[in-house]
Amino acid sequence: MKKRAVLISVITLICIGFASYPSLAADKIEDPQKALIERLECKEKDLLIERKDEIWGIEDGSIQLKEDGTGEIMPPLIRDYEPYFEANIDLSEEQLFDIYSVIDKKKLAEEGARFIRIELMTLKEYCERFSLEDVTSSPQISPDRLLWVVQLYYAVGYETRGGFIKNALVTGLYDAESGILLGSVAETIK
Amino acid sequence: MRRCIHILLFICVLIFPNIAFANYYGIAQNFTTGLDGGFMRATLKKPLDSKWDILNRTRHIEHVLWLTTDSNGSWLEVGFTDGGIRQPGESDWSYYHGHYLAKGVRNINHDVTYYEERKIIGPSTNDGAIHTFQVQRDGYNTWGIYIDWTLRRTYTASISALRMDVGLETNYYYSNSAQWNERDFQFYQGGQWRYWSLMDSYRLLGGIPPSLQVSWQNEPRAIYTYKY
Repeated sequence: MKKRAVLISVITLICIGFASYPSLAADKIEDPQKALIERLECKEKDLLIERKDEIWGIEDGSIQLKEDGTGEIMPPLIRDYEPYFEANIDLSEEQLFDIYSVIDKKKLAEEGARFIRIELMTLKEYCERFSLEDVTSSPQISPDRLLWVVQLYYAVGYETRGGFIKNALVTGLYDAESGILLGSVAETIK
Repeated sequence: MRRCIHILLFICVLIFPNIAFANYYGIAQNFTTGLDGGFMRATLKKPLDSKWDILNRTRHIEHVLWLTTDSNGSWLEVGFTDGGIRQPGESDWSYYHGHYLAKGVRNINHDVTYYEERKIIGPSTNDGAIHTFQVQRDGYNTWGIYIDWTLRRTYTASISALRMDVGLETNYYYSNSAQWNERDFQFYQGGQWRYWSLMDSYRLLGGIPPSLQVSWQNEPRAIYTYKY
């Protein structure tokens, strides 16, 4: 009888151990993308607190009407602020996101895609070499933030949320540290 | 009889691809031209569910402010989305739930020849968070896209906008959105913000499918949109 009680206790303890193991393991593994998103949301929150907004986001109480009531008096716009994606030009090779881990070259070839480049560069370099726009047009990203620039050509065309792009040159801008896709552009090549 | 079946099959072949790739809208449109900007305020409400899954990766649903920037139908947009976003280099569409903005360019034949989109990470994605969405001309042909009065992206486009649309868009018949209240619709003209007025030319567009509804909360400044 005593032996049986001991045996049951041991089995129960083992079961509890197994049941708690996955959650303990999950606590230890941190998703770098999720962590970065949380950090950036906190940054935004701080920015708003500096502006004395009381909640995360804005509030309806902030509405100020013009004298004639035909529209709102808008608060000052924030154009010049510290980029959320900070400069990280000194990132070591080990800290770089493995861009090749998300690229399926075989499947892309089946879809008719041709790789033009997968290249590591800063936002500033990307603007100078490819987009030809002022680096300040993306204020959330530091000019010295490292990006993976992934460029492909689809002679067969490319479907986007905005519509189908014929004869498309497609560019993806991935954050080189977290792997988050910051943006993409698809354009018809003449 | 056989001929009838053949005709029906032919009609199905013609119609079904269009249904599969169609976008559905529950929106308010204002046709006032010569605009230098557009503005709306919205509160995030759960659920906003595109019914995206690994077998149906292109489904999406979003609440959006659009400005049409030329007569070809080019546009700028900013909003909050749930569902698939295509990630260049990856073999399939990936899931995203958050703020975004985009620019589309159409040629004279109305084909889309350029489409750029950016994820905007930072503004709260919490249920109940209130945000402002704003597109305004900041220079001769440069336009700023703002969330909560904070500049997120600058684009070049035309020197004035031709139409402002606000509301709900989805590409999936069975996607789902709680009732949102898009409100405080305003134009930017002559350096001033002005509410949409009863004197403007405007309309509501929705009801297709019937589960996608749009109605006035305060005509013509605010709407309710939902999809069940």
